[in-house]
Amino acid sequence: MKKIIIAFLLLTACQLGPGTSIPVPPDIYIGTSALEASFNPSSNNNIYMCRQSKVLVDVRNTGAFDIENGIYSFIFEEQVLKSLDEKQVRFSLEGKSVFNPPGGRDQLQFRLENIGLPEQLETYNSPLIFQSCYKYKTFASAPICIDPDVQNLNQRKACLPQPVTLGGSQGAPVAITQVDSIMIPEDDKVRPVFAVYVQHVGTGRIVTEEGADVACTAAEDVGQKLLSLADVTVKLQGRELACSPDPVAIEIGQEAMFVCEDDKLYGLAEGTFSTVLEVELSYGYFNTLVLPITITRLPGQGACN
Amino acid sequence: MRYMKKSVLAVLLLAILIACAPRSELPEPVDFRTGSEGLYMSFVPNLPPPRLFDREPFNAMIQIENRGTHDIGYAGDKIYISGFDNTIITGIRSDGEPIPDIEGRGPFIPQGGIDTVNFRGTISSLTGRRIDKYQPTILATACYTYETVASAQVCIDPNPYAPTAIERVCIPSTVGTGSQGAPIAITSVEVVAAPKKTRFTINLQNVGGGDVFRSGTRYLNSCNPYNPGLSFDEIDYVELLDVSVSGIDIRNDCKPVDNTGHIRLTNGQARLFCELSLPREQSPYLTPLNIILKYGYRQSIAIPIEIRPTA
Repeated sequence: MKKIIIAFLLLTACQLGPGTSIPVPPDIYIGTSALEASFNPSSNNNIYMCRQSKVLVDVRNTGAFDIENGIYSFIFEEQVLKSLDEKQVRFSLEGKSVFNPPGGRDQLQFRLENIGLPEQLETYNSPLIFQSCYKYKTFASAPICIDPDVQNLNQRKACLPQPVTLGGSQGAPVAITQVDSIMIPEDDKVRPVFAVYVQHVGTGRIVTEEGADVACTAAEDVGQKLLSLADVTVKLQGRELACSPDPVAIEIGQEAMFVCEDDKLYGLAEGTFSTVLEVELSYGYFNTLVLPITITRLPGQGACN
Repeated sequence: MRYMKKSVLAVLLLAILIACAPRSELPEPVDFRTGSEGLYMSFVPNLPPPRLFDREPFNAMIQIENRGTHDIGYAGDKIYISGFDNTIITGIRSDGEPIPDIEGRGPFIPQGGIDTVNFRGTISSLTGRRIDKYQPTILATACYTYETVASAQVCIDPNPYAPTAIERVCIPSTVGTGSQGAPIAITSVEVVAAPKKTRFTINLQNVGGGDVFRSGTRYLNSCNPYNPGLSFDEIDYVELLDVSVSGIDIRNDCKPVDNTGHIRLTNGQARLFCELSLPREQSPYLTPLNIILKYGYRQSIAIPIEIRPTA
């Protein structure tokens, strides 16, 4: 009898309880960051005169787009410091995905050496600037409603065209905040028009896609490339819509807006349905990070050899 | 004495046995014309499931039950599903699926028939679209023809102001009729007696929670959510098939009825005024007033789903 009771208890213990739920793939298109960089706490920012120092930078791509062919750049005062590694390095770093939900991460090492201090100085503070420049994209899928029945003849509908708030982040520093759907009647059909609102929600700076390279190198005439402009691509049911203005100017602290119009007219025969408006913004982006370096002369120390 | 006791016990036992014996009752017809529903729809649990993945089959099954008293499943009676992007969920017919024949309730059938309607499709790939999820609301719409059959006992008094006092079996008054096992109900009949005439005010109401529209195949087709839809002069109309008192058809003496025999409902309600002419000589009497209405009916249910890309 005891054996039966024990076997029964074991069997019931192994059953899936009502609270057990099937795991859901994580939402990837969420968050306001792209490349996140920080100086590793083990970096040595106190250098003795004429000595070397090693700085470590932790980088993570916490956005939803893969960075390819970006540039890291270290900037410092060349009168007092010299680099023992490349000052500019090309890099690629995977973004968040279903298979890699946290996103790619890396650690950079940069070695510096003090080349001396003016005789009158015992200590000197000099900033080490870390800059990362890369191309990035924002992808947003706005749940919208196509409703050819503007006269509301059928009051039983699966959805109604109304402003859609997107929660303010899509895994990128530029966010699509809201999409307003307008069904413009043309004869007995409607033409969908969408007003898309965007905002800079990151901590870096937006430049044009072409500006991503020059922002870190300044190797050529920058011209208009450093303007805060993003190229716009909007698709509905796989068709690309005509948007204006394109590119759209996105200034810090301000909401920008562009309007997209569909070529296709929707008739009543297509019914009222919900679908997804696919919005893609392409831009260049750069982040800056500063590490104060303190250079100290040892008592009685002379010039470096 | 002992023999006497035994006899008393035997009689008592027999009485108990007779009292406890099951009574052989004949089935009695029930008042089946009650209730405010016609077709009742519900999604079969987990069809569709609340969460789906792309490149999978899409399967929606709707259970339908005839909770009213009129049969369903005539030509043109259909169920449609809509509300989704047909480039994402493909293969679903926009011309709907026919509603199978389902018997309504009857005097000896306390429950109407039950059946299912199935929709099968495929979910296309979402991978290229770079979206976390697509969350449409699937709307199932049923469009069908239904009838309301109502009968009310009304008092007919052809000479209500007779100078001589006569024995009256009834006095004309308002008769409450409730609902009749259909989404359009005859809620009450007001009876007003006048010399040689009895006037009826018949009150109708849409009690089924759906939309009522003109009866006919053409209008059933317009009910399809993928069609131009029912216009304002097609919706909120019921056809008056019969109004009769004591076998006398008084349909032509009813107002307001349009030239196609339809009555317009406003805010889900309508009043129909009918008149019966009778010779003054008759004394008051109770008789059934029969009313038959025919109409198209639309109702819908919705279920939210979520589709996620597999990779």
